Amino acid sequence: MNVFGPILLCYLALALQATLVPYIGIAGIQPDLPLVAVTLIALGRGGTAGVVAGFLVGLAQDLTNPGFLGLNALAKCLLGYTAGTLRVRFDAGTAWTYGALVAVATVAHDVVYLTIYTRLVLSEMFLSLATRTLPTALYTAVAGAFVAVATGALSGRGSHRLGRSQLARR
Amino acid sequence: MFGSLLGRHRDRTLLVLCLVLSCVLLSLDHGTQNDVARTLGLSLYAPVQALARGAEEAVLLRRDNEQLRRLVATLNLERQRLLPMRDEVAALRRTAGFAAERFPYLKPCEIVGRTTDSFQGALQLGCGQRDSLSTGMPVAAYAGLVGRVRQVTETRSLLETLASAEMALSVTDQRSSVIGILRWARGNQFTLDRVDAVEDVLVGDPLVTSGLGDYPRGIPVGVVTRVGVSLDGLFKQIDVRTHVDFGGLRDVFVVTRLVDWQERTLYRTEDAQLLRTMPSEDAAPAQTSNQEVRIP
Repeated sequence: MNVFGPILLCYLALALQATLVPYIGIAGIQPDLPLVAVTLIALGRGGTAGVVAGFLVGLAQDLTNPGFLGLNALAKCLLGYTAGTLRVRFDAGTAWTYGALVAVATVAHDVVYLTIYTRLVLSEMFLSLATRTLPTALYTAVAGAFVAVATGALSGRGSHRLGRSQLARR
Repeated sequence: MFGSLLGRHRDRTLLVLCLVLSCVLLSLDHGTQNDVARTLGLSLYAPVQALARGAEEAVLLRRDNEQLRRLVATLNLERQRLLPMRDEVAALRRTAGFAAERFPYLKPCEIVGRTTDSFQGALQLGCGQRDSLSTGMPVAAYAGLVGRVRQVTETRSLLETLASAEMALSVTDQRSSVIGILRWARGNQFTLDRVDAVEDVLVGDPLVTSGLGDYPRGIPVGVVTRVGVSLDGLFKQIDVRTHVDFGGLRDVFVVTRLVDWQERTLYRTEDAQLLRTMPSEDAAPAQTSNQEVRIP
C-alpha cells in the first residue's frame, strides 16, 4: 500500500495550516486543513488509514500547544474511524458532496473536542459551536471541495471520487 | 491474540489503541505533557521550522533592518522632545506623593512555532528560563499587547495570546478611563464586558491595560469598533479589535521586569552606541552588573 501520498498530504495540510491559513481567515474564521486531510484519507482508504492519520495529525497539532495534549489526537482518530467506516454509505462523487461531508465532519469533530475542552459546560460549548464551529465548517467545506478537486487532478483521475463511488469502481 | 485482533478487526483495534493513548496523554500532568510535547515536537518540527526561518530571514531581514533604523532615528528625536516632560511629570508625582511610574524592561524573543488549534491561541517562543523568562510574564509586540507566558522550559516558552478562550484582561478606555474586561470572540475580534450602560465608551476609543492584575498599566491593546446596549439594558455590548494581528507575528517582547524610569537603566552598552547622537552628559556605560548604561 502506498503510504507516501497520505503522509505528504498530512504534512502539507499541517504546514499550510501553520503558515498560509492565518492569512486567509475571514473575520477570524479559518478552514481546518488537517481535518480535510484526515477526512480525505479516511474516505479514500478506509477506517484503518483514517484512524492512524487522524491520530498522528491530531498529535502533531497537540504538540504545538501541549495544554490539552491528546485532545486533537482523540477527536481526529474518532473522526477518521467514523468517516472510514461510513464511507460505504456515502457517495462523495463530486467536490461539493465531499465539501458537505467535510462540513458534517467538522461539526462532529468540534462536538467531541468541545465536550472535553469545556469540561461539559453546556453554555460555553453551544456558544462556541454556534459562533465558531458553524462558520468554520462552512469555510472548511469550501476548502475541502477545492482540495478534493486538486487531489483528483493531481492523481490524474479528473474529479476525485471518494466513498461509495470509489468502492464501486474497485 | 493481539495479532489475531489486529488481523480481523484492524480498524477497531487501532481505534481503541489510539483512544487509550490519547486518554493517557490527556491525563498526564501539565509538566509531563510539556516534556512529551517538547521531545516529540523538536524532532518533528525542527527541520520544517529551520527551513522556514532560513527562507524568511533571507527575504525579510534586510527590509526589517532598514525599517528599524528609520524607526530608531525617529524615536530618538521624539524621545529628546519628551524627556523634559517626563522629568516634569516625575517631579509632580513626587510632590503629590504618588508612587514613581514603572517602565517595562523588554526582552526580545523570536516566535519559533505556532499552534494549529483553532480554540487555543498559543505561540512558541525561542526564549526560556536561560533568558530569565518565567510563567505569567506579559508579552507585547510593536503594535501592542500579545498575551502572557504560560509555560517555560530551559530554551523554549509557550505564549498564550489574547485570542484564547481562557484569557480575560482588565483594560481601560484611554479617553474616558472606563474599565472593562476584555474577552476573545474570534480571530482579532474581542468583546469588552462589565461596562455599565451609562458609562462613556465611543467607537474609536483606544484601550490600554488598566494595571489591575498581572499586566503593567498603559500597554496598548486595541480599539473599540462597535458600541451597543445589552438586551436587559444594564450593560454595554462593546466590540474591540486588537492592534496586534496574532497570525502575522514574528517577533515579540517579553516584559521580564519593571524598572523605575528614573533609574534610567533601560539601555545597554550597545544601545548607547546606537544613541550616541543624543546630547548626553552621562552617556558613558554605567557601573552596573548587567552591563546597563544610563542615558537621559
